[in-house]
Amino acid sequence: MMRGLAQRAFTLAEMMISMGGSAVVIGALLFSSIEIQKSLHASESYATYQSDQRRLLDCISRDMRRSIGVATSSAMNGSGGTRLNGAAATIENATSLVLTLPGYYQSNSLDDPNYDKPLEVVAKDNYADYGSGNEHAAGVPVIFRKLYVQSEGCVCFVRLEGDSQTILVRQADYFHLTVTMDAEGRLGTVEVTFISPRHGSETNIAMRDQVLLRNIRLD
Amino acid sequence: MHTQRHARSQASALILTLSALAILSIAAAYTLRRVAPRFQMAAQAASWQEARLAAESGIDVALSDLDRNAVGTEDGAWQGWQQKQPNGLIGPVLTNTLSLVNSVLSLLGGNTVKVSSPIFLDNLQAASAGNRPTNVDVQLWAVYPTPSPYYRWFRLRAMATCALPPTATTTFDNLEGSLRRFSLRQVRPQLKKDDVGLPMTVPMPNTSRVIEVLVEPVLPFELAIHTDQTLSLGTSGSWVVDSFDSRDAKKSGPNGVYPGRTSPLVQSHGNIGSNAGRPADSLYGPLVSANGCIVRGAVGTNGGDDPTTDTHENVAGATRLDASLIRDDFYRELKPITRPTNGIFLPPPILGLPYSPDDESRPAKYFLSGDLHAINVGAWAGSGQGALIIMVNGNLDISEGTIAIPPNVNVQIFVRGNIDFHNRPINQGGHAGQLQIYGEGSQNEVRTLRAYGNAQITAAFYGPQYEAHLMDAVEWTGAIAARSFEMVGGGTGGFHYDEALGVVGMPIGYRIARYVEDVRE
Repeated sequence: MMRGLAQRAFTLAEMMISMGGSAVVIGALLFSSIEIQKSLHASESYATYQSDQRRLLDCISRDMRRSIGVATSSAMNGSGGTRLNGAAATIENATSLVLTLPGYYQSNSLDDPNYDKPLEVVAKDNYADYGSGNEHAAGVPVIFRKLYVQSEGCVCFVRLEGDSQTILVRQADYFHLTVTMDAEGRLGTVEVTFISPRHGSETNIAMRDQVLLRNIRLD
Repeated sequence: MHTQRHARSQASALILTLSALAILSIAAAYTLRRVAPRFQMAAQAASWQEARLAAESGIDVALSDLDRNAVGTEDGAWQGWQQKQPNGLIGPVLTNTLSLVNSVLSLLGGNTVKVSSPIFLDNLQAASAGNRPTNVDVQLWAVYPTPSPYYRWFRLRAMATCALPPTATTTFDNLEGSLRRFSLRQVRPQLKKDDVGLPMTVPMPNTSRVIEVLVEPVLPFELAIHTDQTLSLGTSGSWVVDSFDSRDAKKSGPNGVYPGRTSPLVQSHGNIGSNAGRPADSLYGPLVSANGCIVRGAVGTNGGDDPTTDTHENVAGATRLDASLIRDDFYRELKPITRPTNGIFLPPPILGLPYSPDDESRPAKYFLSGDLHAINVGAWAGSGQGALIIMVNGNLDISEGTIAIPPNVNVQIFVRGNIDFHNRPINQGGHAGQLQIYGEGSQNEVRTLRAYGNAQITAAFYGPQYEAHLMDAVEWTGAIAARSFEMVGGGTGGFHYDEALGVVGMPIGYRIARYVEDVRE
């Protein structure tokens, strides 16, 4: 009986081999789970960043396409801008991108019931354009800037038009925006980059859009 | 006993394996659930982009129809377009719609622009890259900035709706919603006003974008000299191309005439351009012969300039041109213009009586089956400008006498034969816009426009089938758009473009002057 019981137990050598084997298996499992988790997290972050990147790119391209002026400015209200022509500008720190849109709406105040109503077409000097009375409407500056937004608690890319501020991207520290205009000032390239969220990676993920300005620049 | 122990160990391994699989599956599912909507946004954003492309294609369709139906003197048939009838029903547009709506123009408050009722294209099927259903509705209004029925702009508004992937029931981020404004469950009421005619057939969820443009006419006299083929400037003397503006006292002489080539009032918008291209085996070389003349304005050719060199190979004899104003990206189609076919055509006056103009909105029309020689035009006693159209089947030949036009009358002459001004003064003291000559040609036969000696001509000429030959010291004030242009000689003559011509004449095409996207609907 004693001998029979002893026969059912593991020997020390068996225990050590099995524990060693288990440690390797569990270690590999643990390591791979952590890596998978990291990878999945990076994948989620990547998808989020890419979505943010696309949104920022699309919004700027949409406004640039219809703009009549492209400039950079360091003033909060976008005034005193420097016309962007045959050069590139990085929209970081205090530098903002100022796109001047043709005047089209009756009001730029969100509370105004005419906010979404277009102006009528008026003629001046045999030239028709949107306006009121006998005057063509002035251009409307739209400012793109990277700044800290108190309500979001983070740095954001924002779009400022009139008295409205639209947040385009939250957690914008990772994003870098560069706008380049060709020598004739008609073709713009918008590039948004972010660094891959995968740990240890220094890969820059860049997406760019080339935009042909549909209107003649008036700046 | 031995069998029982073995069975228990197998069960533990199974449970362990299943647990590990379950944990991994849960992790993967969680991640996929989080990531998938973000990647779905790529597909939704693609639809959003396609909606813009579709709206712009709707604008292109309308522009194409404008080029077909709203150039020259007569409106064409607007096939496929619809309009609301007086009884409120929607039906095909009537022939010559724009002429009809012209008679029911509504005055917008506060300004002098007249805007017609809209006509529209309903539910155009656009092809999208993703093969998703796409509809486009286009609305078109005629806009008249001046009393002239020919100088009309157009307002085009296109709304395109493109289907989103059927799984798009929400946006994972409200920031996406504020930019792209998808219609996930219902269409915004503001958008419905652009869904004219039958409701669109694109299933939900979808996305809509609205593009609006103001379209201006391309007019026949926008350049001083414009040719389809060769363009050769004065070969001797001090022949010059320059400009002035008869509307502006600071840019013209007394009564809006050319102030003289040495006057400080002379302007530098005497632009010239040629559509001619180089042969395929010799891409770079001259397309305009400047012959050492001064051109106070831009010189444009259709290619010919080698981008790897600093010199401008596209213009020969360019020593006295401003090199910064020489371009090689010019091309503007010279479309034939035909005479009006509607209205009452009067025979030419007899016994030397003058031609009588009528109001600018309903010009008097005369028809000559033979040649036209010197003419006198009577003064206009009504308000504004009087207008007169003369249609000539033969030649316009002014071997003696002149064409004399009172200051408040505009004359348009449509000629099918050759034009010869000999060495006569034409429309002296008048403005070029008062004498617009359209060469119609016949069955693609080449015709000629000729003047020589000291002829002084104040006129605007448009004739895609005409070869313009000026000789000796001819001085032309106005504009010439022709098949070719050649000035042999020069002397003290010159070519003086009147910038007021930029807004007169019948449209030969249309181009976008203002582009906006309505993003607040």
